[in-house]
Amino acid sequence: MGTVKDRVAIVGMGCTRFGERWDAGLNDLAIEAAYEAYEDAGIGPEEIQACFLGTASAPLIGIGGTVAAEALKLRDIPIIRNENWCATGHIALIEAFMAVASGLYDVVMALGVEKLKDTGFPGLGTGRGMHPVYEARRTSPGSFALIATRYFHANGIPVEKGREILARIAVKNHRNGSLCPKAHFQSPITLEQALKAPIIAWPLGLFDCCGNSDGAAAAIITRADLARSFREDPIYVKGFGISMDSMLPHFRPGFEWTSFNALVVSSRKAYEMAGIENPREELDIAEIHDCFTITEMLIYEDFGFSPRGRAWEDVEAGLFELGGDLPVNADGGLKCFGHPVGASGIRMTYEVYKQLQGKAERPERQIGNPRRGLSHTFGGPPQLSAVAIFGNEKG
Amino acid sequence: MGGLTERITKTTDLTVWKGEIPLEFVYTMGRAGEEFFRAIKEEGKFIGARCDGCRILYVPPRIYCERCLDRLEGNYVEVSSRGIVHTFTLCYESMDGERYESPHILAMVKLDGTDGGLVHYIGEVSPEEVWIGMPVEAVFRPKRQRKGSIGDIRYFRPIEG
Repeated sequence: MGTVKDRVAIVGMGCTRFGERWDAGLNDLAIEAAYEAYEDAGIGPEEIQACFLGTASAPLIGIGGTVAAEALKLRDIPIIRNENWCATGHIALIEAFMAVASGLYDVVMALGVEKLKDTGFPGLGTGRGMHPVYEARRTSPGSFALIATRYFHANGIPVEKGREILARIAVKNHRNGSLCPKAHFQSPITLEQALKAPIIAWPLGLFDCCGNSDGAAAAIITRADLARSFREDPIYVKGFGISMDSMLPHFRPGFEWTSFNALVVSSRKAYEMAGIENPREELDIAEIHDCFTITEMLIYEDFGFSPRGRAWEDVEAGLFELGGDLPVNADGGLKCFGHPVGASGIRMTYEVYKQLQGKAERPERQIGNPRRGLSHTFGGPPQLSAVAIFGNEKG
Repeated sequence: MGGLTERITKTTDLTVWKGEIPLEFVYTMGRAGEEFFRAIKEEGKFIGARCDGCRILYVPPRIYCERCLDRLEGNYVEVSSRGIVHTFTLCYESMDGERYESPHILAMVKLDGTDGGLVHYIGEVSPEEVWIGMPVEAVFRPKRQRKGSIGDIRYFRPIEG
């Protein structure tokens, strides 16, 4: 099997402000993200040879690739649209990596855009899309709460202690997001606020759940050997991993609700391609799928950042804080930056890209001399995991 | 409260149309699912699919074994409608964001003597009395009310261990 390592680079990125964007339509958001990316790469739309579009839900009747064709006037080139729930943005990005690595195209765009608020999506109703005959209908927080309860039980963590650990993750992500001008939510929260917030699906409270937002993000991707003709500081793709599992993994013998095979496999494949043996030591920043605080906690272990059952110790020690050894969700994550489904994977990569370039908007949130970064989304209720790893130099 | 205040409430400057998309759908269950729900509807019992080679009893049944990919049709057996709570949650909000007066108890129930189970509601118990490992049994609706869907199980209720 081949590799994309050091064969593909990102040379421009854009990301809109996330939030309740009643002021902007789907096309407006696409334009906002794409034109920031064009400007960043120093090119115009005429140089794009193919576009990989990720959009999950809006509008319900389906839109094909028309957002890119109409809004961006990319009418005479291939536009390939995908929907893979919350992993949609990453799949668009990885399709773009593969298209360039294949040698077929020199310059392509990955674009993720979502107008979630228009659909009235309350953030609770993922269960609408699940098979209504096989499963008692449940909300998205309900699904993830089943994981939290079992995780605490399996690891001997009293529920009150577990809730406090999860609240620390929410506080971290809100603090990080409050430093990002483009984040959906702009306020830090306290541990007490998080713990006293209304319970949505016990043991998860309001602040354990991420925001549902409108937004878009875009990336310009080219061959690594051409990258420096666009800019001095391209970001090189080091590897990726994708793993997709059954819609109903809990019907499988041995499924324990404390780990997801798709998370383990996708991260290991990405590490292997990137040549990473010890992610905790070798990664300098990670943007991972914090749709709920328990998801972030589980990923610490499934990705090998923390030993099994002991992620809580790393949370308490501050390992994943902005000033810690492995900052996680330095821009606030889905929790605080927001979660326009199809755009999220590219937004997370935007943060890794800017941090690896040393170009975070504010100096107080710039991580010191990062070399390697990871971005990740986890879709479905939940089964689809996509990971990408980046570096700011070859090798 | 911080984090809750950043929403636009004034949309009077925008022109907005409210629309509804009616969604109608016919759901089918597949060959194994058809057998599973027929057994619930007609007989008020669960069936599973057994792989003799791998010694796995799948509930709900599958038409093939996930491990060895052997066909399992014809290997359907009745299984217990009793099990234990593997994990659970107390849901305070509906899919539409409505607050429940008392929470719905949702659990993964692993069925006795099988390798599978169902995610379903727990009833006839107060939320603070549910625990991981609690023995429960399925309560089916009366036969004339059963439609051959998961809703034919009203809930699982606690039993003496």
